[in-house]
Amino acid sequence: MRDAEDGGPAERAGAEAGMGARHGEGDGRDAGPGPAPGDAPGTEALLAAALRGRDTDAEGERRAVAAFRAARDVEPGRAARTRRRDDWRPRTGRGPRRSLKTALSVLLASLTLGGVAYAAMGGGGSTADDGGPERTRPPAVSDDASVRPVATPPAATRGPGTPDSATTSPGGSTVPGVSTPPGATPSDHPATGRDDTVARCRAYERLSGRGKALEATAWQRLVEAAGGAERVEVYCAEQLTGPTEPEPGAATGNGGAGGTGAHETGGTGAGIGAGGTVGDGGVGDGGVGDGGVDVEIGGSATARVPDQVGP
Amino acid sequence: MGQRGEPRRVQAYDGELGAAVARAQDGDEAAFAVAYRFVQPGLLGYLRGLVGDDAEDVAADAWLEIARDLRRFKGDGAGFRGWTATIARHRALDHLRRQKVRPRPTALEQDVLDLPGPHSTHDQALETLSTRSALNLVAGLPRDQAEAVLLRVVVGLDGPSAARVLGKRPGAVRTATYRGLKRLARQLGTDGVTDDGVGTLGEST
Repeated sequence: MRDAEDGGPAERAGAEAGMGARHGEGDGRDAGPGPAPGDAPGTEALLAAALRGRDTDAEGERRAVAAFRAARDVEPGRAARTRRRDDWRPRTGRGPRRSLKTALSVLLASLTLGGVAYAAMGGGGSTADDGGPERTRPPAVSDDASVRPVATPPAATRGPGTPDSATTSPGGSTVPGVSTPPGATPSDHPATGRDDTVARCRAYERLSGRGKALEATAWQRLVEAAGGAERVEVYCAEQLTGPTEPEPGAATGNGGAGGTGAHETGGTGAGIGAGGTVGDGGVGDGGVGDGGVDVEIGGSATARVPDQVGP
Repeated sequence: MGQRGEPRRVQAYDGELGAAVARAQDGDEAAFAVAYRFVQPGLLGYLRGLVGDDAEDVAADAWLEIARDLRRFKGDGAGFRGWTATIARHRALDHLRRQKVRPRPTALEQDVLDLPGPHSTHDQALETLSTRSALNLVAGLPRDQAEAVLLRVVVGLDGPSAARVLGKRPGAVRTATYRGLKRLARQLGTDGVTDDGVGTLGEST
């Protein structure tokens, strides 16, 4: 305090004298933090009394304050970063707070991830129905209604490589060899709610020749769904081509499915065409499946498709 | 914690010290001087144990760094004592390294024989125990014990803070403090009395 006043070196002598005087009184204060004489002076008190500096030396204080002033004035605005070793806030306060924060962020992260996962799963059921159309063929549903018939043939072409109709084939190029509906160009899934089944079928297609690679339960479910091991192939074909037979209401990539079916069956062209036409309205997943089966099995498909289309 | 025997006395001042530090961090020069007066005695005592007669020089170095880094500091009064002790210790170790001296209290030109013998009254001991003798006593301890005792008794740090200053585990520091104090008590002949002090420590162990 007094230092603030007499900062000039010229006054140093006087200042020190003053400080000396002040330290007389300062002693009383300094003794405070040290051993309180009233307490039973144990070893600690004795040592503290003997070892604690009796008098803070004035010169040291002056230099410290000068250094403080210099640091303050030189970089007044500097935001000094607190390093770990500069943080002496009580641990007890920090620990719980940090762990609470950690817990919250972990919870948040798990919720987020869980939500994403759920959405992805749900995509099979509900979400896909909404998103499906958009993804697969948002334009097709609305405008292509008329165009559809045209669009279908390309699908047929695409698979087996029938060059004739190949002319128009839309975005189908991107889709891997798997029989994908041309209509559904952007996504390789037949946007139906049956993603699992289809996926299983794909796996089956790919692996069927190679024995046990199929996961047991998945395989079981597939067999169950198909209604018998021997029917799996047919069932799958129908699933993959699924949307071929359009049912009103289901908007999803029917056209594409039709295409595939065609490619697989070869002769189904007609059926496909029909599917395509109807397709605009939207294809029901389930309905489509059944139709598909027929298609694969034989020519009957052609006959049957129209029926289903009818409604 | 029973550890707080000695620090408890200091704690009363920690609020004031913390306030002064906070004001100093805002640029208040007088407050910095106040903080200096609070902390310097303990710091000096600790440094005397580490570097003997060079304590004042080392303390001056330490204060330069304290003044420079003050705005980095976060904590209360007790935290400030720990923080400054850490800085002082680093400066002391640098100093010892430069001197190529073993980091041990240097005040070993013994007048151990001059030590006050066992005293019947503490007042007597209090009067007769000179700084030099006390230093010699502490210097006679293994270094870890000496430092632990100094940080606790002279600087007034609690166990965890002392451990942080020394970069050791709190348990180890507590044990070192206890052993050191016990030994000193025996040498001082304050056994009977210091059962109090050491007892306090013992509770914590």
